[in-house]
Amino acid sequence: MAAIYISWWFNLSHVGDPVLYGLLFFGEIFHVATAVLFWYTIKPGKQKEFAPAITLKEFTPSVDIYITVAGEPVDIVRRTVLHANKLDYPNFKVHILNDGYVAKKDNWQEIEQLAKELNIGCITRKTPGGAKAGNLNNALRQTEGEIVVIFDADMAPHPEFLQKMIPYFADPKTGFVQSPQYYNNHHTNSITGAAWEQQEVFFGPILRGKDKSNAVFICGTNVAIRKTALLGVGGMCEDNIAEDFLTSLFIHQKGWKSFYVPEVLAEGFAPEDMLSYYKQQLRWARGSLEVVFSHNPLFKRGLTWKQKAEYLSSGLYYCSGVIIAIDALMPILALVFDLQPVSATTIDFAFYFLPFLFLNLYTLHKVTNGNVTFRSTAFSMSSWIIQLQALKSLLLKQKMTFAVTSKSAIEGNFISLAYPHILYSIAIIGAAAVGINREGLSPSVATNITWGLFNIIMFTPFIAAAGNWRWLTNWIPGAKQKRVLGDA
Amino acid sequence: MKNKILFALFILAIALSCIVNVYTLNKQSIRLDESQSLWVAPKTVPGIISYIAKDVHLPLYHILLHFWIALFGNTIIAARALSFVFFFLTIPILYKLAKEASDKKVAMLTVTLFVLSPFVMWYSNETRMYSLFTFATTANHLYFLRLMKTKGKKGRVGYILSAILGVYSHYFFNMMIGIQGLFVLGKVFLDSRKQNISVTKSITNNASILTVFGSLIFIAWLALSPWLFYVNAQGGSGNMQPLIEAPTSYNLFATFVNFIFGFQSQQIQAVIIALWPITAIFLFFLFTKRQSLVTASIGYFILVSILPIIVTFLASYFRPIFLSRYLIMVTPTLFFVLSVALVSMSKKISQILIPTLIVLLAVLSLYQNSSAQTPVREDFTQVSQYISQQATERDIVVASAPFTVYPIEYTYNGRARITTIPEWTRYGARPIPPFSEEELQKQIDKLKIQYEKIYLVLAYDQGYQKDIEDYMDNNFERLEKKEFSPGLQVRVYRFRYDLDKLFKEWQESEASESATMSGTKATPVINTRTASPSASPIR
Repeated sequence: MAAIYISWWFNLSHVGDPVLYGLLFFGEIFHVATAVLFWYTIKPGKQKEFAPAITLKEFTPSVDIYITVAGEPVDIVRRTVLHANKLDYPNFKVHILNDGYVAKKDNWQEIEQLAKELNIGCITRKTPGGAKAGNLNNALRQTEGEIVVIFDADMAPHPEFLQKMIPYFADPKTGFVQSPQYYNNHHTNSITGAAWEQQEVFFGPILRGKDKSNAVFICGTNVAIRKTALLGVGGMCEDNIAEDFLTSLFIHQKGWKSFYVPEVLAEGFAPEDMLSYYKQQLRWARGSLEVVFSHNPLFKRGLTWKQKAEYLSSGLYYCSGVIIAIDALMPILALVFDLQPVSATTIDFAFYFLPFLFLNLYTLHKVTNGNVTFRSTAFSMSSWIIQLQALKSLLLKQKMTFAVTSKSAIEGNFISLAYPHILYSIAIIGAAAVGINREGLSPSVATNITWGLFNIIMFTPFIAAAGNWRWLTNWIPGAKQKRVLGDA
Repeated sequence: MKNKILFALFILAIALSCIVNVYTLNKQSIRLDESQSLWVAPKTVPGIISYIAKDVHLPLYHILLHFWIALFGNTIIAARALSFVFFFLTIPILYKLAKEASDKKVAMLTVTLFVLSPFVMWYSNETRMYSLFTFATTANHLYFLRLMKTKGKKGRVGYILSAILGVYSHYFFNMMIGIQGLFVLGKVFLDSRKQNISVTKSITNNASILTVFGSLIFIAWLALSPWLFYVNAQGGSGNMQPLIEAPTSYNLFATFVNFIFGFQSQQIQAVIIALWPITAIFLFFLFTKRQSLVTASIGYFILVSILPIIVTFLASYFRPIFLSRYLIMVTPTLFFVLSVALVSMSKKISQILIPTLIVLLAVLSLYQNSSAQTPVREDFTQVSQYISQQATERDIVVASAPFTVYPIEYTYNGRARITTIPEWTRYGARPIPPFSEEELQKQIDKLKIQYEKIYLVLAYDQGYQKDIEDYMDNNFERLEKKEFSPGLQVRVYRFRYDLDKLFKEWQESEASESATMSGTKATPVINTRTASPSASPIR
């Protein structure tokens, strides 16, 4: 179906304005490529063979639990540590990796006191550099465990976390094992809801699919890594803001295996305000784009072709912002300046496009067991501005600092983050008026207005969340279920 | 309380639909196809069978109509009432089908959309087989799903009866059976994957349904086979089929627009179709919902709603058969799928969309039934009234395309003779001759010496209407051009002025010749008018 759809674009008799056609053509090639990569990722197939079943009496390597802290509230860290202390495993040590001092956070000493109170290790870094990666590397030099397990400050593990994760390391080729991030607070507001719904798709069919290709990557938390594998690549990569993504690429290059355990084994918090969400997405976008442009997986030796495809697929996701922006601009150009990128009838295009779109959405629906929400899709689409910003900062070689995602809501109205989306909506209304004034409600004008309306509808959840307009967010279809969590 | 209100609104929708239907029975002019049905139905049953064998349809409806008009008279109201009866009978069957597959809410919405659909309403009172076809298809779906649910134990009799009714209603019904077969086979294959067993094992597990279903469709096709043999013996069918153009992507979208919004003017339809990106929005809402609705066999409903349209579209590249009315069989299941989609959206969105759609359909139905601009409206009654008032026995009425002679004859009370271009004798179910400019000229040359004016009724362009118009405009004085409904026009041309003078001269020459020969005054016998061979038996 993708081939049939893209063949329509290769028919040069459809070319209207050549520049605009070229832009759209490029965009559609991108869409089809990412769709094919997605289908490749989620295609049905045999899951990787799990590690042989062994009892923990036979295999209990020493484990260092790293809880990375850089100014998070003490009560959140306390919760995580209390859960970590209750891990059901005979041979582990818990360490708080306290970066509060180098990050100039006020509570770094409280964190040290907390560690003392709870009788766990606390490694307070005094030499800055490398952000979270630097913090982890500093701890690697000071701990002895064979396996390191990394938790963010808010990610409280379930007691069975190690029991489920460690057996994979019985295979001497296992480099790391990743488990999902679950957001405890996903029902708090539309931002936490959308953030969780996006994670649900990623930690669901996508990572399960990558696992089949031995291409799961480290997601920064809830991960167990063999120390020798990590040291073999020089520790966590300190050059890239998405250090986890790049480090796992290096580990795979060395031929190590990775596994994904598709079970919620730790629970944390989603960003509760638009600014925190924005910063988190910007960091991930920038880091992934750096991998695509500076460490292109296609040219990395040691990776299999499946791994290359999967790493590229993950990186390309953050390039979609450019394409979305181009597509969104087209109706405005057509309505205001009567610039038509294609010369074929709109219905002729729809004949090819709608089945392709239907299959994409149906596949997404099926592989997520119907769990993909409109809200998560809308937030993903609306993140075009974040991805453009990340791309701009990359191309201009602007330095981006590692900003820890806030674990509690930052007060304030962040509607300014949605100004581009609001401006676009106003522009569409104006463009519609111009188009109707010029040629009445012709089929061309009607189609372009409808496309503009489509974009406005997709941007609305983002705008509503940024402005904290509950009267509007209540209209947006999202997850209804609430997962009940256990307390420590 | 809320349920009672919903139920009251549901009944109101049905009542509104029935009122509009009954009102339409008498208020609209006879349509082309209706006049053909009314021309065929009074024949004897063997005569009907013989005629229909040359047509593109099946005989069941016309045989039923034959007996119906024998009981209730052959007026257009009585004839249309038979179609309305089938439409009305479809309502409880569709409700039952939707309720068994989903729930009461979806069932009520499905029926509401169905009865208010302008498209369905148009054909629910047309003297044609479409409402019978829809009734048979709906019943067949109901019993098919029961067969599937009970692995062939329940629904056998209902299935076979509805299948026989269906195969004798319309040839397209066979497509439905074929799709059901595909569905059953697909289920076997999917079961093998879901249960991780071999296909052979899955066939064994599904042996009962495979056997029962296979037997039932064999019986249905066996029942159809005598008809097929007969048609073949008659030399095949389709001799009188009008020209159907190969469909384009526009027609495909237009079909869905027709099904939901009915027949609107070209401009409105073009704008509705141009709003197709709304489908993209709808798909996003549909596939990203969270509220799951338990719906048995939604895959089946989608398959039987979409696949016939796609198959017909593709087949039309070999032989054009793509007409939206032939695909009316998908409307019940299409509205079911639409209802499921609407009900399973988030509450706030469905609370806006559902009432909006219902009100829109009701308004469009009323508009379609009353507006003169409705594209499918055929005002042959008005045409005939006009010609009756204007034309005299010295004039000739000519219908093109030839099959439009049916509705003209049915409604014409004038004194002028009626013929067709090309000249067609439809008695004996002869095929319509092909058009040629040479034959056109010969025919007109013959007519122009006999008649003073020609009343040319043009409708259903078969690809040569422009040729006729150009020829007449270039060779004769056009006195009038009048359009009665979209695509139906009358053009009046003058052949000659001097018919009276010519007649007198002829009389005198005849008289003088006779006088020369016998020395007596001869009495001229003038026979410039022959009785029309197409005198309608249905006045």
